[in-house]
Amino acid sequence: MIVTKSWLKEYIDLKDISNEELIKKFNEIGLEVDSAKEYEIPSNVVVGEVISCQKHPNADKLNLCSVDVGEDEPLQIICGASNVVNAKFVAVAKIGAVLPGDFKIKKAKLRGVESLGMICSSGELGLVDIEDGIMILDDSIGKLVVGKELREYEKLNDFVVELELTANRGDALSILGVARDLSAALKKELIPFEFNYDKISKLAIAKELNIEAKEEFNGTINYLLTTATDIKANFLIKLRNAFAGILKDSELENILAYSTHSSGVILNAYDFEKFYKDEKNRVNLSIVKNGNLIEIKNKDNLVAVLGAYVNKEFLAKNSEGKILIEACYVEPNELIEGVISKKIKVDEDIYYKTSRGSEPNIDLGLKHLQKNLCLNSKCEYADSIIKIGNKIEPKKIGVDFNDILAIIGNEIPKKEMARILTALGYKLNKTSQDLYAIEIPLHAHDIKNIYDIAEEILRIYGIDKITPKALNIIETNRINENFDFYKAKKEISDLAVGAGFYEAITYAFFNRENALKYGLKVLKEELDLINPIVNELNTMRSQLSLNLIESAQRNVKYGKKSIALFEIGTVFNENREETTNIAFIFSGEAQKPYVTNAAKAKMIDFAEFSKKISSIIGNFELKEIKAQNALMHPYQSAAVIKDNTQIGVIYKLHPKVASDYNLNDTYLAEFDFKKIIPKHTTAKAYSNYQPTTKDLSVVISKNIKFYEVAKVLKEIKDDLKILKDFYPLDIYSDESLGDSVSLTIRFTLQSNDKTLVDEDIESAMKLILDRLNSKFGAVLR
Amino acid sequence: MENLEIKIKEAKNLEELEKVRVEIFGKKGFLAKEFAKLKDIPNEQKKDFAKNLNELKTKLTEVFEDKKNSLQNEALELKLKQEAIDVSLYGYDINKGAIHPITQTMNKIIDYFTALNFSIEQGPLVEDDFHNFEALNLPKNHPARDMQDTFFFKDKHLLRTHTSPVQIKTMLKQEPPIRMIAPGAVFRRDYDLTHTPMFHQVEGLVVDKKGVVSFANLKYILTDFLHYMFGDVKVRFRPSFFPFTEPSTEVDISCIFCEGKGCRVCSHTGWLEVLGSGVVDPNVFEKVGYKDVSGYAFGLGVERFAMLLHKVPDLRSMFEGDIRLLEQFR
Repeated sequence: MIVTKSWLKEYIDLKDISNEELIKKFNEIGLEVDSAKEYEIPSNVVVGEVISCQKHPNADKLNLCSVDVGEDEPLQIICGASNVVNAKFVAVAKIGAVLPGDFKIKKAKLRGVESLGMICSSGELGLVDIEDGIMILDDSIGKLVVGKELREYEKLNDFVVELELTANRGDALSILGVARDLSAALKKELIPFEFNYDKISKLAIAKELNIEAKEEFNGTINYLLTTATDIKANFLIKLRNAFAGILKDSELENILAYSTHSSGVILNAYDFEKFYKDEKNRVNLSIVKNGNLIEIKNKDNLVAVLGAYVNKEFLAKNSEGKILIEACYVEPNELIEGVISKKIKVDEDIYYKTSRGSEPNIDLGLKHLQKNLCLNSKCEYADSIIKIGNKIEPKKIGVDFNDILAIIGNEIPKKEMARILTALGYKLNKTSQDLYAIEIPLHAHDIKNIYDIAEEILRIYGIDKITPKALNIIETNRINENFDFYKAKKEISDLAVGAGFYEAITYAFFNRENALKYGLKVLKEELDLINPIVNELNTMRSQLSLNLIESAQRNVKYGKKSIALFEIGTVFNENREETTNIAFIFSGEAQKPYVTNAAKAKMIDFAEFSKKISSIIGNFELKEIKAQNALMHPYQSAAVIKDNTQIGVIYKLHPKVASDYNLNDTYLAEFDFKKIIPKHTTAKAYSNYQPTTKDLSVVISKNIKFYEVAKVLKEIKDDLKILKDFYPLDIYSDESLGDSVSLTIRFTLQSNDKTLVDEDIESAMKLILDRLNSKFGAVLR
Repeated sequence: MENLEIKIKEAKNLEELEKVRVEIFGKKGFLAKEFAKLKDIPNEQKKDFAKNLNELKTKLTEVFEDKKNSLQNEALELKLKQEAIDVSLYGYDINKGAIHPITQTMNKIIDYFTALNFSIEQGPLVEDDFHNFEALNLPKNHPARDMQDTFFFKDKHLLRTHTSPVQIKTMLKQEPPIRMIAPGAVFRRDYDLTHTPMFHQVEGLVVDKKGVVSFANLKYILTDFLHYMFGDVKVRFRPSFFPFTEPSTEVDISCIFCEGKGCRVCSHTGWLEVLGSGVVDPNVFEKVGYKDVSGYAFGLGVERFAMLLHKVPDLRSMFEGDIRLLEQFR
């Protein structure tokens, strides 16, 4: 919504309000200022009167004009605009004027003829573009005095403000509506709009037009028949329409748009001659309801859907005949419901206003239009106005001012509260101490309860004046599982950072086809998105890894050789159930070429990656698993086991996928986040006796994985109390071993109640060896 | 005598010194030989001889120990010297990642509110119309309900467009007083320079008995919060409109780039909009079955805060795992 200061001044006195104050006030009362611009015509640009105009002797397209600028002699000015021929009053930039863009006006010779200034277009003066060619002035901006500086005309040097209105402020979609808000905020009375027309013709509307409403409807319409000729919107209308961004092609449309922008009332003008007429040469219009929509029909033709759509066929442009003018108001909520349920196409300009609530005082809107038509055409009006529709009754609510104060939380004088509401058009009826019956004006259709009333008071009173108050609260333990989860996320993220990983946040989507290509799970078809924003993000992700792979790929493009990322985020299973996962990716160099490795980069490998992961999530065991999808390397994939349950997977990215994404050696791990949260620890007693380490080398089949050996060793550990710990120390194979390998395991032996003697150790080692032998056929090397 | 002392002093290293030690203090060394003479010394001289010899031994021992210490120190010094490295070669291989600026910002926000006794509440990303729109008093024509702006699933569910459904869920589950924040990801069908289909919000809600929670309380906490986040900035409240609050207000801070003078970032207004908030609309309370209560609610976009706090130039880069951005936060 664009307003200008001089336009507002037609409704409210703003002479002691500076532009800065105006902006501040707008923002304070909830009419957010989007942008503001002060237009200022440069000095030495004056009103000129074109005395004569003839063709330039040496150029067909140039005009040689004699222009009176109030000096002794008229100036000879050459002008290239074709519309100068019809111009009387124009803007003349005299020698010495500096136009926007540092354009200095100098004495010039054009094709051998001297030119002593320039006749300007609105654009050249830094104003908005109004029409092709030069700007033709008239008295609408104030009495034109030849030679007077144009910068002295206030309406030309206007202050234009664009307001960003919230959806509930249909009442402020007009100059009048904005002025009404200002009047309450600035404590200034609105200047009443007055216009009485006396140009009544012999036209009897009843003979010309018959309107039939078949059903009751929630809206009001006024019809006025007029004959208007020589319609010519004055300069000010066009200038202001241009400022407001509603400049139209035709004169009549400009007058209509101007009147609607001024008053907020929806106005249309139909070419009366285009309607179908009956045998009595009468136009019949019928008003019918289509659901919640109100349709106007002429015979079988749809003329308009009230507040939503107008059939362009019937619109008057620059009619020389009879024009039927329509001013209307429709109840916005019913209109919206109708438009949504009937799925009709709407005229956005109109619907924007009517769906937010256009000005209900349609008599006033019609008066605006009548005045503007009278001033800008030769017109006469028919004998009376046809008014049709249901008068919409204002709502009334009972309000205790003390309840409003409780909502706001500060003391505001009750007199001031009453003043604000009255100024905004509310009618107050005091029923008892502080208790009012409040009648809500129709233009405030969004106001329904005491909270809405509190808002009206608060915004006009000024939030600035509200003293902030701390809320007294009763201390309550609000630590819950979400708090614990938040803390765990922080702690684990910090560990990941310590291990060299950067946190990534990626969209919770991925591409369904791509996911299927790699054998990842996807949402069931019937649960998938209807309207994804782009194809790459057309379904919800079932795991984080694929997104991290894509991030890694981007980083390769950015020239990164070592890429370590992690993400904690939501993933969705086939049934669209949500889980929080954490995933890690490491791609490329674990160590860059450097002094420490004699300039030889060390690539990430399974061992190094697992070590990094363990520094984040603690102890775990790895169990070989089959690749669950095409991302996983068939021979370097493991289930991560903690406390005998699988918490996630760790794997090398399949080289084929790595090459799809242009990645070097890449490893990934993904876990159910809840499962890696550290558990509560209960400390056990520990031995004070010296531990002994003992290494055992056995020859064992290649096919037996350490995980299986470990399983047996753990069983032994349950019985053999002095066996505290073990881990694989070395694995070795050569030709002589054939299908076997030499596996060395290091054992830690320790008793809780004595220093171990050789016999204890030997019998323990024998027991271990015997068991490995019977289980796996392992023999001592 | 003098000779022996000189011999000790002239030892070049610990090995030479060891030889000298054997020569002087060894079983067959000088001192042993001298002490052996004692038995042949006449009795009257014995005392003096022994005294002198002992003095000599003490003296030599002293000299020897000094020499040994000094040689040991020299050897240590030599060893240390050999261990010398150019320490300035190192530190070019930093092994630390970084927390994402969005998370850092989110955590800072969460820490403020939990310190003020707010609980953290969470909800699913997939929601239904009731929790995301209807219960929040969003009218049927609200643009957010449009397919243009909201991601819908085939079974009528949707991706939450704000964290507000968590408020509804919490109110349906708990009795007042409520004092909660809901941080998390939200989704809107927008994808351009300044919009991403997923972003993050933190939403807050306080509910207590009727007449307890007021607009003035909201103004207090948000002013304090913005000072905590942005330091010494001016805070401005503008009346605004949200379907779920009444009165509603948008909160601006003076532009942190130009200190309120007006620049490109603040569109030359001197202000940056950072928060939406208001007194909870009674229709929302009605939808969750609360009676005779009062409350306030607020919501903010974490990305916007992160971009302002850390002057991140490009919103979309934040969702690309771009190490060029992330490594700056180490």
